[in-house]
Amino acid sequence: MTASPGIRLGALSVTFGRAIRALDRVTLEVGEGETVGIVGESGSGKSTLCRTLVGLTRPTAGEVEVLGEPVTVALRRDPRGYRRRIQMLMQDAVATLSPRMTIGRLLAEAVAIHGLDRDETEERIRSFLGRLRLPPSILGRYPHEISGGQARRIGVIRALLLRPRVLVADEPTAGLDVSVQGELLNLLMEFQRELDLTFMIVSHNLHVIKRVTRRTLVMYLGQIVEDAPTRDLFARPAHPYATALISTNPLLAAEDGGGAIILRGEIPSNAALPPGCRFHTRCPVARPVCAETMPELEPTAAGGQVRCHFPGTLARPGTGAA
Amino acid sequence: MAGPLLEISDLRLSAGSGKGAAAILRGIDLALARGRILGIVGESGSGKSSLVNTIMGLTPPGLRAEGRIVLAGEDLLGLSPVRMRALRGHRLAMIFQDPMTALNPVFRIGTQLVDVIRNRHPGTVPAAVEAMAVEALGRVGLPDPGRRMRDYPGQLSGGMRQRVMIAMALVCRPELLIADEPTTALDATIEAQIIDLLRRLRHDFQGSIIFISHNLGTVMQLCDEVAVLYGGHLVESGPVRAVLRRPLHPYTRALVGCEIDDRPVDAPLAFIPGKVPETTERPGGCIFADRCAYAAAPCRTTAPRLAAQGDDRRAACLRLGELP
Ligand SMILES: Nc1ncnc2c1ncn2[C@@H]1O[C@H](COP(=O)(O)OP(=O)(O)O)[C@@H](O)[C@H]1O
Ligand SMILES: Nc1ncnc2c1ncn2[C@@H]1O[C@H](COP(=O)(O)OP(=O)(O)O)[C@@H](O)[C@H]1O
Ligand code: SF4
Ligand SMILES: [Mg+2]
Ligand SMILES: [Mg+2]
Repeated sequence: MTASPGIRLGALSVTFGRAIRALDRVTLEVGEGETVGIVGESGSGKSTLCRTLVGLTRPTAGEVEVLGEPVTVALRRDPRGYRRRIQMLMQDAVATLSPRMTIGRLLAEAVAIHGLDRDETEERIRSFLGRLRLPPSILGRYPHEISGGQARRIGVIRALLLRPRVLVADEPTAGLDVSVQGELLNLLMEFQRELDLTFMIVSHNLHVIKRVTRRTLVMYLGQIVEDAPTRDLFARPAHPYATALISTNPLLAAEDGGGAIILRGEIPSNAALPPGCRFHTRCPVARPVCAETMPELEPTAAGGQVRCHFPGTLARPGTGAA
Repeated sequence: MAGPLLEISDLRLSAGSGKGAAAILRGIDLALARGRILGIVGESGSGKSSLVNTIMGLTPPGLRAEGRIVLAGEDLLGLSPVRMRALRGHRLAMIFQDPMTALNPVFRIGTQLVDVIRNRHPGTVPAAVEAMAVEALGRVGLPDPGRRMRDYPGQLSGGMRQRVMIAMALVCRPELLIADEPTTALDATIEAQIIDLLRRLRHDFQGSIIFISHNLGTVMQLCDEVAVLYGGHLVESGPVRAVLRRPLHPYTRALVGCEIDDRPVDAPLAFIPGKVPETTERPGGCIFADRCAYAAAPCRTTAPRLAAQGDDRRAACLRLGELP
């Protein structure tokens, strides 16, 4: 982690309506230029976290700072400037492209409102098209005439044209075959390095997270339950949810390292959160205290943080290790 | 009964004719023994759904299916639509990625399950039908099944709906259960529950299962065997662990390489350049040659045949002997 924070969240809460607690006092610091992965069950608040960062969702309580400035202040002071500094790749790439504009127009408009130089922009678009292996003719097409993979690439160009310093990618390869995900992710990682982007990436593909991030956040029902160096997380997950999640993919283990841990029950609703530890209704190692007292996010020996009364105690079936 | 439960030979599925003709399945040979679970993998557009829909007799109008699909001695392709409809829900059952394609939103799940049982076991007294339905919902892990009978599909989570679909398949006691990406829309921990359920039920249910997934890890956990489809061809098959841990065919190697590698962070991720062939393409050589890292001149002119590789594996590649 570097000294100057790219992103800082202080007890950030987002509540929808009166009851749906999408994020609950999330505290987090991400260094400038750091790449952080986010995994977690659907409904755990991953997209809400991303949207709050770019200013699409307003915090109910708590602080959100990007590049040292509170988002609310930045948006009031210079909304365009803020939108240039932080960009987001949306989960549904195709839906974010306006259907009645050609791709070329769409990209031109994205930069026009920011008053960037036209010739330079065209030059940059051409170079992006080349690197993303898109034919120049794509600029004359409409969103429905291009494939899902191409739409994602156009989304990447639109986001990066403005030379942002922070990029938030919400499941940037969802819906793409694994066979083509790698190419897009490689390009994103190249851009991350070139532009020294502070990069947050949400994915349900654990292999992707394992391979492109050095730090991973595991979310469950609006909270961060584990925050750890990615390598440690995959080798020795501390939180029982993280342990179970990783166990579901036998390919992540070099050997056949035991079977999947089967959690009981389903994810409780954000509108009726369990008392105590939010995971206790499904946790295989829960004890009575778990139903009563919510564990805090505490530092681990490995340099991460975990929110559990009994971290590291859930073993995979078929392995002796605890 | 001796011999495989299901034997598919030279199955072709095509549309149109002349230059615009589409070849969706290009000659599939496949056998499945009783009680086994077969996984089918391959990129989108490889023909996985087309293959199982053809087995189910659900070929859309305008498509031609040729070849043989023999289920316990009976060639399904020769059957009348009426006879085929009778087989579905008896000897064949299917579950889909989206249970709502099969569940009717305006009827209680109990009513729908009872209908399936009445249809499958005519003459059963109503109280027994009701009891079977509750029992089936309990077996698939629906909590408080008696009360759940009165729920509408919309009141259930995605995982619970998929359990209801499995209950419907169970009460049919099919010889062959086909599951087309049943866990694709589910969270990983719920997916693991469904896989665990199918594993435990396989003994209750005695039939064979064909399970389609694009998640190789899931296939490894559930299946005994795996078949890899590409561009309407079966390019490799064999025991699941052997194939996924030591793939032979370059396509399987590439596909597995996209999902597992021990390379460090910062090393680029693997991917397969290019895209799956269009159904209208008619390559003279190997269907994978355009994207294959090992392709040589003969690969572009000679189509490889699916050939035995040892006792229980098969692969269709001209260069198998020369690959590292
Ligand atoms: N605009 C909204 N209005 C009401 N509820 C919402 C809205 N956006 C998200 N939610 C709810 O907030 C919770 C977290 O959602 P989300 O951030 O999308 O989770 P994830 O991306 O991890 O799946 C869910 O319960 C979701 O239904
Ligand atoms: N009814 C149809 N008419 C023409 N082509 C079809 C039809 N159904 C599927 N196809 C084509 O057949 C190929 C295989 O499709 P599908 O079986 O759905 O693959 P998968 O399930 O492996 O993704 C695709 O190229 C698809 O466009
Ligand atoms: S606090 Fe208790 S219930 Fe929560 S994860 Fe840890 S052991 Fe499980
Ligand atoms: Mg989301
Ligand atoms: Mg399909």
